[in-house]
Parts: sequence; structure tokens; C-alpha cells
Amino acid sequence: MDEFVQQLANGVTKGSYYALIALGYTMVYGIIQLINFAHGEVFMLGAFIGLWTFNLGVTAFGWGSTSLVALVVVLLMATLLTPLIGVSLERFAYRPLRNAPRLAPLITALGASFALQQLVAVFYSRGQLAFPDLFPNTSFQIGGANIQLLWVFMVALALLLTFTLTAFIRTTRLGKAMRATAEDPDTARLMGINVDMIIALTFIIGSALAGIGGVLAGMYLGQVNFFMGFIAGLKAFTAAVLGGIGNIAGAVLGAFLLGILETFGAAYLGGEWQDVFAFGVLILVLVFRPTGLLGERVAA
Amino acid sequence: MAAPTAVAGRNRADARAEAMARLRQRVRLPLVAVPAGGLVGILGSYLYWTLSPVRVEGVPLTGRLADYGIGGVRTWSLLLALAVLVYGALVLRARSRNATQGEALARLGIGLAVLPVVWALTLVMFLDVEVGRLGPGPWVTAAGGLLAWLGARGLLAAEPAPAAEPWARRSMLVDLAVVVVAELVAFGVFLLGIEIDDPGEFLGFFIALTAIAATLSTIGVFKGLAGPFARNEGVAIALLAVLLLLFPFTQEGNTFWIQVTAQAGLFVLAALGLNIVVGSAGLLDLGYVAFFGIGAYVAALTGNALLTNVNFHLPFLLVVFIVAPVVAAIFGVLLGAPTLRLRGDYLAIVTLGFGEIVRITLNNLDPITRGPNGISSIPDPVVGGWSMGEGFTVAGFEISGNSVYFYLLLALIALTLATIYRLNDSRIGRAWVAVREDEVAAAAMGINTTIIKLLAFGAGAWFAGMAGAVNAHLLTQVSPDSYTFPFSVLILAMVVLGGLGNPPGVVLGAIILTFLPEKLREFSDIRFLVFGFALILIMRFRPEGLLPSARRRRELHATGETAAAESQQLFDVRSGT
Repeated sequence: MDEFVQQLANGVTKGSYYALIALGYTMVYGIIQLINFAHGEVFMLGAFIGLWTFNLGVTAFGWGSTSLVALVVVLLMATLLTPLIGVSLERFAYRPLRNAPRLAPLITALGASFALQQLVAVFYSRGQLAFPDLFPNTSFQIGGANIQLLWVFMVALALLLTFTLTAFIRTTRLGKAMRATAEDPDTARLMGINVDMIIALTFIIGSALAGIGGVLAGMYLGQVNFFMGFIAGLKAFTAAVLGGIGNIAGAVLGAFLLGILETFGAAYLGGEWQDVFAFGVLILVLVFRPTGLLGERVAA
Repeated sequence: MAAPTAVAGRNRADARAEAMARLRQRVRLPLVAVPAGGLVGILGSYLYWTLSPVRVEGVPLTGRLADYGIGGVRTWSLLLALAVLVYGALVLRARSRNATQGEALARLGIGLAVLPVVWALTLVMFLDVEVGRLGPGPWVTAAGGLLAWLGARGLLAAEPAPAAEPWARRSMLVDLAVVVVAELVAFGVFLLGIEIDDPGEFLGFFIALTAIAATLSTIGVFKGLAGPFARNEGVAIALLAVLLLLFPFTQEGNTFWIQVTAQAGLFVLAALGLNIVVGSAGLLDLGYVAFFGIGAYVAALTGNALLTNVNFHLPFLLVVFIVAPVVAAIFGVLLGAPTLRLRGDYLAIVTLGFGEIVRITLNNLDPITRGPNGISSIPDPVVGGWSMGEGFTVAGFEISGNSVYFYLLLALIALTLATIYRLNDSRIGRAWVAVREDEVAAAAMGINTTIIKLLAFGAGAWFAGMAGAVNAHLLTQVSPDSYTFPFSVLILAMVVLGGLGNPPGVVLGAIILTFLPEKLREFSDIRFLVFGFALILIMRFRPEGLLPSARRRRELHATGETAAAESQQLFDVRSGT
């Protein structure tokens, strides 16, 4: 029982940062039907921006670990800088190809993913870098399982952001414009919606969420490397597909489910099969229920 | 998002063209700037390029760059500058001029400007040469290139030349001479490229070659060559075969580049296979390396390896031609059967996942695959009591083991190319194209799209399996780490760079992307960085690749309303289920 609760907590925590990445995948796919392969790299860059900000803070202001100021600043920086990457991707890599054959932006996305990874590898570091403990390192017991406060924070933050996003899409004018663009970009344009701007906005929101996810993952895993975005991105995509791509609630549900499934799979089958498990889920879902658990419902 | 976005896109393109035209009006140098730029370039090439000798891993950069004179990288900037001067003067003196000549000159000029800058950047960034240690040469040369480029732009406002046509037949002899000279030049350039050891010089050589090829392509030489080649196909192929057979003898006992060429042959095989899946049938497969890996493991497990857990031996020829391809193709069909009804981009992800699953499985199945250690000490294949690694002697000539692999791959590639051309002209090949262009219409025409796509997957996997089997013996070991996702992307990049759907283009792409990293080993750190950016830039500026198939070129450069609308339809993979 202890073991079960422990694994469940681990899985849910993992699911929280998968969810933050999956949201970006699902929104971008919902609007321009593009699998943004480079999205996992935005997540990775979020983690590196966090690390870089922290190191800067250590030298400039003498931050120590578990400093709440540092946590807030690091999260803010990741939220503010990752959208720049997302928007540049959209502007320079995807937008020129919006009318190109379908294979073209996919190959471009792949190239962008490679390029971003390697930019970090070449100009920052190829190694495993330790990520600081920004969050107070306390834990408590529930049902015999050891739960860290950080995990609760991660899950709460992910859920909070999801609800905010849903509210934004449901109630604001911009949200309405996003839904309209996802439904039919041409008609949306005729209705006076600046479709290019809405698409850019989608990339901004998605990247910011992934950036936050990167910092959270950095704290959770305790280390970051330049290829962490590849597998995480794939899994988040799996989560988005599992829940029904284009569907925000689905992406979050899929992410938590995948996190839990994966943790249990690793615990009972052996850690070395963990990734096989995740991809196996992806293939099974795509084969038997390609619309995902909640169905392909575009945005909101 | 069909019509309105397309219109908006065109309007934007028009606006950009107008802005460019205005800019051209503003910076318009007289045409004489072009040969003048050439002269400046020649001067720059003779100046010293570094203030003191530069050493790479203890070996000085060749061509005594710290003196006046030429040699090393400066040979190639001089060549480009001469081309600018001569061609520029010819155009200047010509009675009528056109925009195509301007474009050709502009390309030479850009090449001349880019060459020294890239060379200087490389030295500064990767060989730790301080900017202050660079001499005036590169900057003067680059200025010359810039001058020529600006001068050439004035011509762009003129009428373009009529589209190039394949050269008409003058006489049998001229035709034959053209074919022979073209092939000898190509072969000579290849040998020359291999000959150049110094990475800085190779960079210069490569940029000059690219600029000259782009220029020749602009003025229609390649298009023209198509004429004589089409009329003398047999001779062309026979001569090419002879040249390739002679290649090992040009290496004077040095086997390194023969081995690299053999490696290139493996990539050619794999890329040709992937081209069936992506190019012909339009299915993006991102886990292609899995089939390569499966072929390699099959050969390793049955190849009498020293360090293996399985002692089961099969004859090499049986493995290469039948067992490995069949096993890989079975896996291809197994993967394809459930997933091929997915939309194009889902398929990409699923194949990617499959590639990872195969790698992780190879990594974890210790009892059979020896896990992360892999299988090593795989001996050279033995055919009828003769080990291929021993080589053989013909008429007093020693033929080394590496050359045997090279010949083996030549044979396999010839066989594969023949198969692929026959396939493309068959019912199946036409069905692949039909499915790629419009799956619904293809199905309506009575094509069983599932079977056809499965066949593409199986055929692609077949050739990957074959390549993998040879790879296991060539490298004498296999391990899961060799068959990772970047490898899939590398093969895809070869196909895309060369020309999706066009076998000769794919061969060229594979050769370039094998030799380039090998030649620029000093910069291997940034290899994948360059690949990433190259993929983005190719898709943006030359999506049809270096040697496009005729159909794709038409589709991607369609002009006018109908053609644009047509290409929209033709390409929309989404119109599947």
C-alpha cells in the first residue's frame, strides 16, 4: 500500500510537467495542425534559462538555494524568455511554410528541434548539470508514503495554469478568436481576426507553459541536460494524443494518466522498460482510439 | 486553409518582390563593378591571409597563408575571383544581356564574398585563432565578392533569358565527348576533394564548388547536359561504372577514403530505401534506423561473431540478400499494418516511437543482444572459403579488404537502383505516387491503399535491412547506441537534401552528407547543429533538394493560379483519412 501511494504520488508529479508541455502541443496542433517537434526543446530551454538565471542571481545577489525570491524570479524569467523562442520558431521556421506541402513544416520542425538542442550543447554545455533546489526541501507522510512539498507545488501550479488557460480561452475576446481560428482560419480572417497574431499568441502561451514546466522538471529531477527535451517532448505529445489532441482538458488528463502509468510500469516491469511503455501506449492509442480519450475537440 | 491564405501569401510575396525591385534601383552599380570585383578578389587572394602560420593539431594550414602568394584556401578564392572576372568581362562585352546572367554572376559574387568570411569565422570560432591574427587577404577578397555581387544585381532588372533546354544533338562524336568530359570532370573533382586534407582549404574548395555549381545550374549547363546523357545512357553508365571500379586504385594503398566511400555506399542504400517510403509514397518515417539496426543485428547474430551469445551461423550472401532484408521487411509490415491508416503526421510520431522501442529493446534483451555492450568482433564475411577481408589480386594489382566492401556495395547499389527504377515504372510505383498525391482519389481508382502503403514500408525496410547487414561486417560490431534517432534524421536529411523522390539526387545527398562530416572532422562538434539549420534552410529555400525530380520541381515552382491550386491539392497529405 505504501509503495502504491508512493508510486502514485511520483506519477502525478511527473504528470504535472508533462501536462505543461502537452498543453503547448495540443494548442498548436489545434490551431495549425502542426506537430511542433521543437516544443520539447522549448521545455529544455526553459530549464536552462532557469539555471542560467539562478547562476546569474548567485553571482549578482548572492542567492542561496531554497530562496523563494530566486524561485519566483527564475520562474518569471523562464515564462518571459521562452515565448521569444516559440515566436521566433513560428515566425522564421513555420510561417513561411504555412501553404507548403504538409511534409515540409514537419521536416523543418525536426530541424529546429535539432538546432535548438545543439545550440545548447555547443554554446552552453553538453554535460549533466545540477539544478538547484529552489523550493524548501520539506516533506510529509501520507499513507506511509513520503511526499515532498515541491511535488504538491508542481501539481498545484500545473492545475492552476490549466484552469487559468481554460478560463482565458472560454471567456476573453482573444480566447474566442483562438477558438474561431482553430475552427476555420479562413473564415476567422474574414471575420476580422488577425490570424497571424492569434497563431503567434498560441505559440507564446504554449512556450511560456513549457518554460515553466522546464523549471519545475529541473527542480524535480535535480539535473538538466541538452537532450532532456526530446524524450519529455515525445511523452508530452503522447499525453496530448492520449487525451485527444487539440483538447486542453484531454492533454492534462492524458499527461497525468501517462505519468501514473509510466511510474507504475517502471516500478513493476523494471525501469529500463519505462520508455518502451510510454511509446507502446502511444501506438496502442493511435491504433485503437486515434481521437484520444476525450475526443478531438479543438481548443477549450 | 486553402484559397484565401494562399492569396494572402501571394500578396505578401508580391509586396516583397516590389520592395526588392525598389532596393535594386537604389543600389545599382554599373556592370563594370563585376570584373572590377573579380580583380579585387584576385588581389585579395594574393595578399597574406594570416599574420603568422596557423596549425591545426600540429599540422600547419597548407599554402603558407602568412605570405603573399596563393596555395591552400587561396587557390579556391582565386579560382572564384577568376571566374567572376572572366565571366563578368564576357557579359560586359556581350551585345545583349539578360537577368539570368546577372543571377549567375550574383551567385559567383556571393560565393567569393562568403568563402573568406566563413573561412575566417571557422578559424576564429573553432581553431582558436584570434581575429587580430588574420591578414588583410580575406577581407579584401570578401569586399571584391561584395562589389561583384552589387554590380551583378543591376542586371536583375533585365529580361530573364529563355528557359534552358537540353542541348540538341550536333553529332554523335560531340555528344559522346560531352558525356565523357562531364563524367571525367565530376570524378576528378571528387578525387580532388578527397585529396585535400587541410580542413580550412577544404572549406574553401567546397564553397567554391557550390558557387560554381550554382552558377552552372543558373545558366542552364546541367539542363543542357541532360540532352547528351539521355541520348548516350548506356555509355554514361558504363563509363561511370569503369571510373568507380578504378577508384580504389587511385588511393595508392591508403584505405581510409575507400572505407569512407564504402560507408557512403551504405548510406546510399539506406537513403534509397527511405526514399521509397518518404519520397515515392509520401509517408514520413522517423524510425527508419530501426530497420537498419534490425538488419545489422541479424547479420551480427548469424555472422560468427567472437563476442556474442548466439552461436548460429548462416552464409553471408544468404543473410545479405534474403535473411536480413526479409526480417527487416517483416518488422516494417508489422509496424505498418496497424499504423498506416493514421494521418501523415501521426505516422511520423508512431514510427519515431517504434524506432525508440527497437533501440531500447536491443539494449535490454541481454541474453540475445548482449545489451549495451553490443556484439563485437564480427569477422569479415566468408564466401565459399574466401574471406572478403583478405582481398585478392588481379593481374598483379592488390585489392584490399576495404575495396572488396566498396565493390560489394557498388554491386548492391546498382542492383537496388535497377530495382527501384523498375518498381517506379510498375503498377506499384505508380500507385505509390497516386497515394502520395491524393489518397482518396487513389482509392477511388481502385488502388488498395493499405496494401500499397505496406509495400512501400516493406520495400523501404528491405533495403535498410540489407544495408544494416553489410554495416555490421564493415564496422565489425553492432551496439544499440549506433541506431539512435539522430541517425534516422541524418538519413532523412540525405534524402531531403538530394531531392525527395529522385534516386540520383538521393545518391548525391548521401554522398555529400557522408563526406562532408568526414572532411570537416575538426568541427564535428557542430555537425548536428549544422544539420538542424540545413534542414530548416533547405525546406525554406530549396524544398525540392539539389537534384529534384521533374514532377516535384513543377509542383514546388508552379506559377499562376491554376498551377498553385493544383499543387495545393497534389501535396496535401492530410486529404487522407
